[in-house]
Amino acid sequence: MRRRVRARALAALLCGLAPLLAGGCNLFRPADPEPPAGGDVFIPDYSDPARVLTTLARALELKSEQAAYADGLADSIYSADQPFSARHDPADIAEVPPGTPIPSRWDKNRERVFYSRVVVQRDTTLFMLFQFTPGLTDSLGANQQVLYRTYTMFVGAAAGDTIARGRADLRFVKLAGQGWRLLHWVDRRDPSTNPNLRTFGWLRLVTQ
Amino acid sequence: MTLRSRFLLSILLLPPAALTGSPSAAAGQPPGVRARADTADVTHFFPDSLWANTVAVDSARVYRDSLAQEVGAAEALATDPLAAGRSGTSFAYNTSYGVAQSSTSWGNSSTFSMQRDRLVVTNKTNITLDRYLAAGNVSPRQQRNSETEFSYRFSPQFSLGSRAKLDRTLTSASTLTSADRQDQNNFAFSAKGRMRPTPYARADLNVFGGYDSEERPTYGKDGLSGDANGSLNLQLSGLGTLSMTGRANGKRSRASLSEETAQKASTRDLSRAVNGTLGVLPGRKLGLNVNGSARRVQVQSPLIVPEAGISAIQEVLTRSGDVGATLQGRLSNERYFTVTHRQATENKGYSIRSDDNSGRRDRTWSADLHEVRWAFKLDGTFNNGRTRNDFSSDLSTERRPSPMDPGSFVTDTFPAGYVERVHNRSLDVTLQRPLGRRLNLKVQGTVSLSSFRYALVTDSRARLVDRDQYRRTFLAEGRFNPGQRWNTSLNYQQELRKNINLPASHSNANLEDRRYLLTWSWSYRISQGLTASQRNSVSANYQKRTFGPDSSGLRMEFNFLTTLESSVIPNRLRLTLTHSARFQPNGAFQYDTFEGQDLFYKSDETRLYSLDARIAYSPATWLTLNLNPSYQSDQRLATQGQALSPQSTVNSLRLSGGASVRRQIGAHGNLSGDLSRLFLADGRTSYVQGLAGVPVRNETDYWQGRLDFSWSY
Repeated sequence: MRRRVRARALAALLCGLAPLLAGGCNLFRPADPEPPAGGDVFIPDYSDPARVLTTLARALELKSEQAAYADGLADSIYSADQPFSARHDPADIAEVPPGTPIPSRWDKNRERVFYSRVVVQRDTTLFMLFQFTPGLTDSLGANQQVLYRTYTMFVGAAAGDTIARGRADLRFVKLAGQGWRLLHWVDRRDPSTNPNLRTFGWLRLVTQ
Repeated sequence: MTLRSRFLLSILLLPPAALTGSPSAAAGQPPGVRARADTADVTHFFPDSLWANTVAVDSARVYRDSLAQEVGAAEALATDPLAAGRSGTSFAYNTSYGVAQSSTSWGNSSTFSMQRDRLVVTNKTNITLDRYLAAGNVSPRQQRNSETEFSYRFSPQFSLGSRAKLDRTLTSASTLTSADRQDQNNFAFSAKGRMRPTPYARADLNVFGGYDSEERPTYGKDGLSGDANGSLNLQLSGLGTLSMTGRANGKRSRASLSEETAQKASTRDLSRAVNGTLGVLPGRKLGLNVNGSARRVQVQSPLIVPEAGISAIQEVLTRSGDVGATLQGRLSNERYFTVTHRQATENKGYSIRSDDNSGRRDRTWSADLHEVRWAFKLDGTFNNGRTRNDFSSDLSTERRPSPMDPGSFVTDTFPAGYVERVHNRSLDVTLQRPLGRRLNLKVQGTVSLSSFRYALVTDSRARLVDRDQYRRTFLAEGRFNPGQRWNTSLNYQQELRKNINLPASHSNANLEDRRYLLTWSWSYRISQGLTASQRNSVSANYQKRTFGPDSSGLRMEFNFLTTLESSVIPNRLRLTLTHSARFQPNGAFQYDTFEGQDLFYKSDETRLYSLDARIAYSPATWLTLNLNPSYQSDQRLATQGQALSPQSTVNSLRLSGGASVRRQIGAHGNLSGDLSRLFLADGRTSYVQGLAGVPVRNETDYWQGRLDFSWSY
């Protein structure tokens, strides 16, 4: 009788450790990569919110770093809070072309697809610049930080050819031992700039 | 209908009591299920269709333009004249004022409803005035909307009514003189009918029709619209429930072609949607829930094609559908499982910019298991989903000729696309076992793998590479709870993450992250009103390039968090003190030829200390005064030569003081909210070669909070 109980307990324990065992089966076995053949090495850096922004900007510039871009956004797997979401300026929603779908929630998957589409819109390199927004002070907590930034997205070396400009309230969350991730992007128009310039949020909506 | 089919239908529509012989209509159903059915019945949906509607609303997108009437129709259903029976008048008013660092918002709303036997009149009005402030610029935004509905019930089965909906939006980048104005009007007549052929079947049909207009400085659109929607709910004896809803709406309008011209063109929008849910054996040990939906939305709208120098009407056709089934088994409250399968597709086709065509297909399997046996509690979740995103522009779309349609126009914006295939699978198993009454052990393991595969079309600009993302975690935890005075827990976690680029051109950036985290926490109640708790953790994160040099980066983190909570005067004065210390040394392991082994070289270190106090005093039950001073010191050091030298220091002080109010005003009013003044100051010092530069100080203060007042009669 005692043996049976032990055997069942062992079976239950094995069930508990099943994920580790399952790592050995093919369903959870990642593919084997090809050995490297040169090329630049881009190592994403998420060690603080400013570096996360630099990583996102660099990923846009390189155009082939969708994984690094998406990895800079909070995920429900790693964060107890809600995963990444972006909020658009209501004025942008009102001005997108008629018939444009307005998703109820702009989540990480939409942002990932947006990345893959926006980087192919132009042949030239995309640059993203984040600057302090005058008059707004960042909120620097130990586990959450809010950065107020004015961003400019432009092509070419000069900032003359601007694609998007606006303001963003960027909330970052710190993950234990894994650095920081972008949790919320609240997009706003920049009242001090040319009103004909579109925001990143508008670009998101029309590039779905 | 043949005699045989009539007989089968009558058997299906028989009440459960007729089949079981029991007088209870809820025979065979647990009390909770009956309660849900009652609640759902008030809203004229069966329980399963409530869930189906939730899913449908969540997955549905709101389209600018043509589907606004659909949302309006759904709102109109909320004040159902056919449900009116009693006379009465109600009025509610709400005002709120919110202030933050860069914005203020003032909102006013009112709801009025009057029922006089067969007559129902409702009005909802909202006015929101927002101001966004930055760098001396004020960006105002004003929104006003009002919806008035009038309906008359001729019989419990039929009513007629009308609705007027007005929306006004005013947006400006700087001042209201350069405002962008948007006006929307909707006037509609409605007819609502309901049939209840048997106590277990109900059918609703609602028809709306009217006039819509939208005016903006650069764009205008007006025309006629119509909407028909209906639902059918059947309770199929004790076998299950069937719920179906359908909707079709259309709009014929004239819309501005461009900002430069006053010329207008005709547009036609049409959308059709149907949803259905079948619940088999609800409330039984083994039940099945099947639901599905299909949707087809055609929207025509003006489009300027700069490449061709023309303005045209483009049609966007969206077709989507999904079907899902859930098998539920509940042997007892401690033993149950769920198996779910879902398939969904969505295709979007553009008549002119066909390069924007896209398609999506999802197929997901998931299973959940909960089992308690031999004092072990087992929870398991398995997910296996595949998604195909098609941006290859090679979708066959059914095109309807639209006015001023120049035909498919290939632009230079998206010269080529790609097809993405994503395969996500994950397994999560948790096992818990109490040892005696004081000790509880928990083991959890997860593994997940996401594969991204791309097929680029010829000459595609996309630079997407095939890759895998792998994650494996293990957690072991012990909680010891000897009594009410103190408890402690020890937690160990380890995690492996791999980012794997498959092609040779990108595989040199492949990374492996290994993280180890040990956490010890305790809580001790020193006296009746004083509790101390502490959480200490140490983590090590090793990052290694799979094909890189034989070295790995190491990021460590030591975190100590101590909290003292004191109820100095019970229910009056509460004090919470929190101290946090965090050290984050970073570096890399490199092979040392002299030592003949890998040695850790520290590259930089971050030291963060914070002290936070929260004092809450409640002089009355409805009022709480708060004071929250917080100090934080952030030091960053980097290796120069053989030693660490400072790079930057940031010392910041945050002081917030304010009040929270929760008070009923008279018999009908209610005031609630928080308002505080926030003071922020920080000093930053940067170092060059170890020498401190000129400190930079910033100070700012502002109000933040929100106050709400509501009054209902």
